[in-house]
Amino acid sequence: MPRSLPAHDPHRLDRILDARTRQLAMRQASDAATGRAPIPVLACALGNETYGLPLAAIAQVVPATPLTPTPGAPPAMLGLLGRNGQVFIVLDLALALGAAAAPASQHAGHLLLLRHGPRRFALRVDRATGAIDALPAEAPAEAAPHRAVTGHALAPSGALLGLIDLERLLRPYLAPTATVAPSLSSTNGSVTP
Amino acid sequence: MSIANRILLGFAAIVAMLVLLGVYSLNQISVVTATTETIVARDLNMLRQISGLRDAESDMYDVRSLSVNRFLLRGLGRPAADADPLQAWQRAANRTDLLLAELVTLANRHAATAASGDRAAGWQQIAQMVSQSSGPLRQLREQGQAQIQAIRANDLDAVLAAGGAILASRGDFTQLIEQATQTLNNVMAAGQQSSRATYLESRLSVILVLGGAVLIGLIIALLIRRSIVNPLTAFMEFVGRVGHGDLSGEPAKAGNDELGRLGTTLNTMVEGLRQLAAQSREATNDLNAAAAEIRASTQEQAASVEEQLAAVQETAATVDEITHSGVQIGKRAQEVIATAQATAQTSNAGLRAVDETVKAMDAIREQAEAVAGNIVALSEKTQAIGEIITSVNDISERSHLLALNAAIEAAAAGEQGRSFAVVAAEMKTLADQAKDATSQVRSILGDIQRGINSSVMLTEEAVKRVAAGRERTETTHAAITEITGRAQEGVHTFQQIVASTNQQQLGIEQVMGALQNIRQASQQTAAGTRQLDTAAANLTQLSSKLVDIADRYRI
Repeated sequence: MPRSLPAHDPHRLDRILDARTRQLAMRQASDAATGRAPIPVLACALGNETYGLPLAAIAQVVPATPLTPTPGAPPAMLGLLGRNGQVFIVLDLALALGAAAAPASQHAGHLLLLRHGPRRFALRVDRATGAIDALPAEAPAEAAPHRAVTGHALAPSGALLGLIDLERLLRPYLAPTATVAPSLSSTNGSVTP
Repeated sequence: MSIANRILLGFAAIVAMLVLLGVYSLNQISVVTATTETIVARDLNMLRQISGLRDAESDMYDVRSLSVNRFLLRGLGRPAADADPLQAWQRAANRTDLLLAELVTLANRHAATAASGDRAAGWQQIAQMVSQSSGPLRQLREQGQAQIQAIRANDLDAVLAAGGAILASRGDFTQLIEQATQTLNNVMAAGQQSSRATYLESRLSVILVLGGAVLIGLIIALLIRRSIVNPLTAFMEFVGRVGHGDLSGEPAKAGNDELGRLGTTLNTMVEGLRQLAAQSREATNDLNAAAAEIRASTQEQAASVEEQLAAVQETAATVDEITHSGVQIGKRAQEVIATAQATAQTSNAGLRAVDETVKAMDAIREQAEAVAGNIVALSEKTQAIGEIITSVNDISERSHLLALNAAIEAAAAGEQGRSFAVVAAEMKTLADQAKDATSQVRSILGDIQRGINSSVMLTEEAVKRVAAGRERTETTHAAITEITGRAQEGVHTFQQIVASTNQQQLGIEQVMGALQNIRQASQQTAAGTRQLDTAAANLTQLSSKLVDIADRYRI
């Protein structure tokens, strides 16, 4: 049975252009409607969900490379990354948010190198979608998966993304001892490191 | 005691009685005979003695008379022989005396041993008379002697005188002797009477003994008869009962004698008869059941023979139909032969078509192989396109990251980097669009690759199918060849079928004849079965009678 090749869609270019036009129009419309200041975030894809990280806290986005494993580390800590003479502690954002992550996806995706205090952290995400200006939602999210998710914001493309507070996210990993918060151990008990 | 011993004992008793009777009779006969003989001997002896006495007295008389005569002759002057008579006279006289004495002695002895009183009295009377006769005899002797002496003396007167006296004496003597003789006759008569009495007595006693023996013999015979007849009557009753078939009565009386053994034997015989009757009753019952079964089976056989006859009729009809259908078979076989010949011609044409098909298949296969080679080359080209797309994708990914980092740097730069941020966003948009385009190209290329792969597989499959089609065409060639051969064979076969059908017609005619024979045989069998049925009925009646006869024996 000969498989039919996908026919060339002549309206594809028109669709793309229409989408861009709509996006640009919606950004101005939202600014004019709400009057609230948009937040510059870096949108990241974690599975089917999208989260937003403060753009100012991120130093660089690099493709994922093989990491140096650290024994006795919490499950969310994937290992260590050496880059330009600096050592980054790589955390899996999905595991750190309490979601179950597939082990195969640990060496794929992007690494977000953070500008942070005494210790250098890197967050592994599935894909860094882009730097956007998100409009925060009016009501904070009630059913947040993690207490680091402080709220929701609306992307210019219309997608809803969760805003992540890096202070809250990284606080357990800043302790001098590598003790993990009970909530994390309880929620991540079934995850294999 | 056994019967033989009883009979033997009875005969022995009778024989003993007969022997005793005979001995007694002989004894009585001998007594009678002895008595008679004694009487006769005594009487005859006495008679002879008396005759001797008379002779002796006559001799005396003769001697005296002769002397007297001689004397007288001499007196007359005539010569006479002179002899002395005295001595002869003396001798005769002595002899007479002697005889007389003997006679008296004999008579007295007989009187002592007489058989009866009459005879004893007779004998005594004779002895008395003889004794009385001795007186005259003595006178006679004396007077005779005197006369002889007178003769000697030649005294004639004296001689004559003496002669008269002698005559008187002699008369007395003779009278006495006559009386004795008369008495002797009486004695003889008495002896006859005595012997007759003895005979009568013996006869009476013999008759009595004979009667007793007859009575005893009758009693013995009656006893023996009773001892034999009573058990025999019981046995006859028993045997009669057995003869009437009653085997269940009480057994005969057994014992040690012959009849007891006969009873034992009869009991054994009755036991044997009872077993025999029981066995014969069982056998007869079996026979009755078997006869009933035989009758049932003969009736079934009669029914089956009827069915057989009907079946033979149906078979004859069927065979007739077979004959008609055989003719039709012959016609159809001729038509089939024609059709098969047409089929053979058609299959030859088919063979040619198949050869052409084989050639076309080869051409198709070559073209398909060429198509496959072209498709493989195309696939290699798409592989190169895929590598190019991979590198383009990598470039777009790098551009994406570069745009992100530029946006980050722009955000870090603050208000100064604002325009740079717009450039970075546009650059990111371009990179994303390039990535989308490469992904679309990749998916299209994947579709192309899959299409090529499927085309390759389809082409290979087409080649295989063409090869298979060629093989099948060759198979078809062989099949059509075989069909042609089979059609030819079919023609031969149907020709043989026609021949066979003709032979079958002949055979069916024979079958018809055989069926006719079978029908006749079935009719004969039916008749025989009816006779068998009748015979079985008779057999059943006979067995029923046998059962009745066997039931006569009460066991």
